[in-house]
Amino acid sequence: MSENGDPDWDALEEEHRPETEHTDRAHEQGETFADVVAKKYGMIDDGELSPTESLYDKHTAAQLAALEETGQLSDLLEKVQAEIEMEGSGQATKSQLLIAALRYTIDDVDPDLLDDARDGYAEAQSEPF
Amino acid sequence: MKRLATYLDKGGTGKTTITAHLAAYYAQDHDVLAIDLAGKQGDLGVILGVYEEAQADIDSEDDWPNISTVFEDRWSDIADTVGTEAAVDRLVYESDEGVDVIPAHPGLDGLDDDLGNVDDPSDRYGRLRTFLEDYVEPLGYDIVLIDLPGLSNNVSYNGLWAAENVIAPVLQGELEFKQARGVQEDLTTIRERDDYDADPELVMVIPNHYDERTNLDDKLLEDMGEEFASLLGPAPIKFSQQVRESTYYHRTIFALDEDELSSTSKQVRNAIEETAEELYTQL
Repeated sequence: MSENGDPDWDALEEEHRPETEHTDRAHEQGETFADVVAKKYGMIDDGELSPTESLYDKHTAAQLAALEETGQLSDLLEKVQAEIEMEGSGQATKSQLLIAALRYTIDDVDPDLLDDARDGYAEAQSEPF
Repeated sequence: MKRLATYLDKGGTGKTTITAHLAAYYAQDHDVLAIDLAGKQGDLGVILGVYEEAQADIDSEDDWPNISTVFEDRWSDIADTVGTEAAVDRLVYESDEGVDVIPAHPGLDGLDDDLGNVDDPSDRYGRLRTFLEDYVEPLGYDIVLIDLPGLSNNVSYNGLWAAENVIAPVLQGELEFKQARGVQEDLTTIRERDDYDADPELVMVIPNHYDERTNLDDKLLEDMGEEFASLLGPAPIKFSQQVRESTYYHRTIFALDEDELSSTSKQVRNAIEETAEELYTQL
């Protein structure tokens, strides 16, 4: 509670972060991150998990739209892809930039996590669906 | 507490506009809560004049909890911590027309997928009902109106389960009739399933955007009467420019003075009043 008796919503939100719940479930089951990634690929193939992620952020939306309109998006995409040795695929899109940027960031701050994700993908490909 | 959901598996039929106008009419004499599940664009909140306030809270990241939170496992913990009234009050925005509104939120974007990960159908489709029964009803609302998306998904099913009384605004046309028939069939399927603990029912089909100047619309209205019989609303609702402008001026036509209404809008107002009165007796 805050000093005036109203709920402290910021503290409550922090206390109830959903990410903690997901982490606890995977750890309780003894699953590695690669295992969980493999499982998620399976759920996508089964139609239980959407392959689409949406993002609500007006700053990101404005920046991406501006990159697109000014023709700078493809150059930026090439630079990011080059950093992570990622091959381009046809016309540069906002989605491709977001995908490349996310991989670049994870590779930069926690490269082991990206390796585990790749292991999970490999694990998913080897399992019959 | 009476409950009502506006639903048709098709966009652009006037669901949100009719929901807003029914809510504003009922709010003249009752305590009304309107819930927007129809998508993050928040049109119900726009018409009822709370969108800008809600959007400001989103922009300043002071938007938690919100309508998407009530579907999460943690909602009960939140309500237990702060109390039911404080928890629900946190979600509500008060409109100038007397309607309490729980507006849409961007969190609704991923909600359908999240609900899809819930294995038990009763749990997957029953979360909004639990919210209404356990947390809203104790607060003394007379009626809750739920505006649902124009598509069949886990969020819509939550609305149908929660409301049990369903109305379908229908434009004039065979394709639109087919959609209304589809609603009847879907609700019958839900009621007949042994593993579903829900009894949603189509209680009214509301002819919308009716154009009395055309013989075609007269014929279609007659066909609707034959098709839906006692389900047909008592008064077809004409197209009104002033109603259409509700989203621009952030108010329903019930917020306008008599001398501000066009003759068509007066007819539309009367039709909505007649529809609302008959509907209330059926709920």
